[in-house]
Amino acid sequence: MSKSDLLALAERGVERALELGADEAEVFLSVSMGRDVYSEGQRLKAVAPSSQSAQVRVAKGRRVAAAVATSCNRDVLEELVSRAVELASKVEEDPHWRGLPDPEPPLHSWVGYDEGVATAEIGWLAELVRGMIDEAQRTPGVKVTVASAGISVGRYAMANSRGVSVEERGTRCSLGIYLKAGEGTGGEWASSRSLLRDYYPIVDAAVKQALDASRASKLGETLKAPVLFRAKSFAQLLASLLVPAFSAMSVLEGFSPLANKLGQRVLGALTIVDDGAMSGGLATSFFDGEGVARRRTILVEDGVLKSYLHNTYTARRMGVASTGNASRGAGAVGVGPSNLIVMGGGYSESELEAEAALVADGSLLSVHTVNPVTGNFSVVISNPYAVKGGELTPVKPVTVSGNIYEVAALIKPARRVKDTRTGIYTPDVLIGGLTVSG
Amino acid sequence: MLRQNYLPVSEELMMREDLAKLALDEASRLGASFSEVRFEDTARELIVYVNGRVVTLSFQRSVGAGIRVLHGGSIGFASTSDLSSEGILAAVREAVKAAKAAAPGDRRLAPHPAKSARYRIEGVKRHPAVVPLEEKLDLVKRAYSVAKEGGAASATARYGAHYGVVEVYASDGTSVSAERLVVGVSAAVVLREADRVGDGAEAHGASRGIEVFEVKTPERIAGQALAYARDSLRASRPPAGYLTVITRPELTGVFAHESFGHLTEGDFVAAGTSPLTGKLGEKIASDAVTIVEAGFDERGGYVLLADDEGVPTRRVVLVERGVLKGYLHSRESAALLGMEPTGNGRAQSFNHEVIVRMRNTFFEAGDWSEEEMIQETKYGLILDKPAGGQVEEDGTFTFNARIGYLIEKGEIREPVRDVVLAGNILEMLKHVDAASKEVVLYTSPFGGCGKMGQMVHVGDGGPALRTTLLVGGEKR
Repeated sequence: MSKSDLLALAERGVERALELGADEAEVFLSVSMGRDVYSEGQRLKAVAPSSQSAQVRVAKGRRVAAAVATSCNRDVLEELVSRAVELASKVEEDPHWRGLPDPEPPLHSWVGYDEGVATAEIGWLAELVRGMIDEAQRTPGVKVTVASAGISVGRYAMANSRGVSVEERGTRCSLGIYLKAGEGTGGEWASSRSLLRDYYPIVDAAVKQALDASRASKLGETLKAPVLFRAKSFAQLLASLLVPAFSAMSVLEGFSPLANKLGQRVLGALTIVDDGAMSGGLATSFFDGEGVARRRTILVEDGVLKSYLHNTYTARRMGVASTGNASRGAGAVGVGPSNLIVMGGGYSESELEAEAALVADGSLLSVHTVNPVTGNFSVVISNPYAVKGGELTPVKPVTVSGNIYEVAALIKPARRVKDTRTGIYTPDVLIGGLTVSG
Repeated sequence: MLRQNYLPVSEELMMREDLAKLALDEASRLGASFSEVRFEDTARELIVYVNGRVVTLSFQRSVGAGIRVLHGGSIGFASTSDLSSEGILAAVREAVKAAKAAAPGDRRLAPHPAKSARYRIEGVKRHPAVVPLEEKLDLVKRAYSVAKEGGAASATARYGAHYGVVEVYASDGTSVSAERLVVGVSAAVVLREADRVGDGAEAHGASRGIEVFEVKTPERIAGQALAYARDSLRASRPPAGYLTVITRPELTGVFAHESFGHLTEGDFVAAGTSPLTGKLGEKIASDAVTIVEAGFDERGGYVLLADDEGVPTRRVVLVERGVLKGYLHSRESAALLGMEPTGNGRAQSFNHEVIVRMRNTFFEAGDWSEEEMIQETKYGLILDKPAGGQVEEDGTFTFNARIGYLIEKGEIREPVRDVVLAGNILEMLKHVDAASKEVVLYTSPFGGCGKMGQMVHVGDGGPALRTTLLVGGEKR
């Protein structure tokens, strides 16, 4: 199906919904293709998934419903549209519904589509994986669990009954490796919109983690102390604990501790920006999940809450403009972040290390179980280091617990902002007053 | 016995046999030594009702095919949602190309016994596909009303269902179709009192029809969520450090799944990266520990009669009175270890390749009562309501409890909340010293188990279990 065919089909779906009695309609169609090679131990496996998604949202008055299918086929879309219109006639009114978004031009010109990624051969990805395994196993005692290299290419077309008619495309390339050295584990991964082929830093980081972990000893005590989170570790905490609280949907529904806190100091010295228009960003696009232009939004400035993340629904309900953060999933249009940037502070990493009792590196296990409703978190650090006399000594996994808002005044970001290659750009961050046990 | 209802009925015709033959012939022509087509036709229903308003009302249909081939000793996979002849043939060519990229290899697929069968989940009285939408909306509204009347500042009620059929055809004669079904209702409640916030959640899921909510009613589900939220409101952070911990059945299930089940998955064992590699027959736990993994169990949980390779699901005893007895296998992992497939080859959808996954993972009963276990605990915690978990390949595991209580001198004291539990499985299973008599199994259509980017529905459970774990909390 050519590019214009997809958009024409989306527009036709919108017309059909209106013919069937919908007052407003939106059709989102996407097509994606992936090529992934990964190893199970040292054995390679190659997969080439190809998927389509059709998502229809319609409103009859203030009654809204959605239907989703895994095909952009014309007949499937026809069935979806009628199902969505039928559902909308049965559901009750949403008193807060104020309609679909109006069309607007994009606010930037950067296209995250790399022809080199789109045309990468699966055989070449297999070579990368073999290279990663060989490189990792050059270090005696290291055993690869999984090494992977993959690309994905996607495009979407979206139309609504208010005149939104947009399409764009994107690429992504990812490399990752997880390995063991004795009883220690290490892992590193990276994603980019362009081709990634330099795997040495990824392998080196994972090997170092695993070797350090293999000689780790038990911390053997419970401390109330400052913990320095490495950028990638802090990014995981940010994504699970704070991002849900920034969602205006969570705020409206009473699930965010940041409700009614606009203008108040909530996060110490942190400045956090959502920027879906950033050149080179992993999550950059022209439009969000409902056709609103991606933009830059300051969420927190010097700890003071400035804005929530909005889609059109939450924005209209709260009387502000959408921040271009509509997300899509399972038929629902929700709120989600784009690129998140934590601004650098006034400290060097070594200054913060000197202040910390523990350095948190690697994965935060159980980070998906933190409580964004209260700000409570209790996670296990996979690769921690105890700081003693200026030296970093690896220790076995420890638990770190606290409440992010209660210790907000004790947060200190380092100066250098790092690309964690996960869509989050952050410095190392010191958080004081946490309980560490292991 | 439920088992009799699940006997395969092989007389019934398969739906996409002709298309499958086309694909298998093409794969063979391209030199594949084995090929397999997996068709999926499933639906997912979701209603999310937040603070008196339908936030999500969606119906998701998933139709497509996944193709696996073995070529030159390597495995390739491709998928398509284009079920025309051209679409299927293109996917076969992609799969062969992928296998060639991964070659050379030493992969094989272990044979399996049931070549031709159809597995239907019998005894379903009111299948979600035929129950009217109004009734499903009523389920979430009823749950919401209870939460609201109970003083909830915010409340979410959900209804979800996943159902349909997976058909598997392979060049070795496999011709199997199997039904998928799980329904559920959940309630989540937030209470506010002065500057304190309490939250609680409860869900009930089953591989059954909508009739399950006649017994486990939405009112009961929301009432339980409220009760947890009230305790949470006055709960403090738990003491940190190594403590005696009693896990209630739902939390025991996550312990079984996260701390142990993942490490018995044949792909990790074959790669030699599971700490359980080479330990079959060894004593790895106390006598109080028996862990089972099954496609179905009369006591509840998820029902999977044949996996996504068309292999009928076997009941696997992983640990029997402390001794490691078995691993979980797909046809791929079984071949690598010279063992038999157990029906643990699963994929999130047609768009995903089969990997080794759990079905229902649970500890078996002991001979204690929960009261006795509490009475004989001087100082510790009794914990409930899991919030997920994770395991690393060195055996370090974590799982979380949303709510629980301090135990002092054999008595339950104040509530505690948001507790992370951690340990190393090879040490920790040796510390299990008591299991209660009653086993409860759980499942849900809202989430499941994630592995390598794939999510599948699972079940887990067990009795109340007592052990020693590292608890993350406050320094007291």
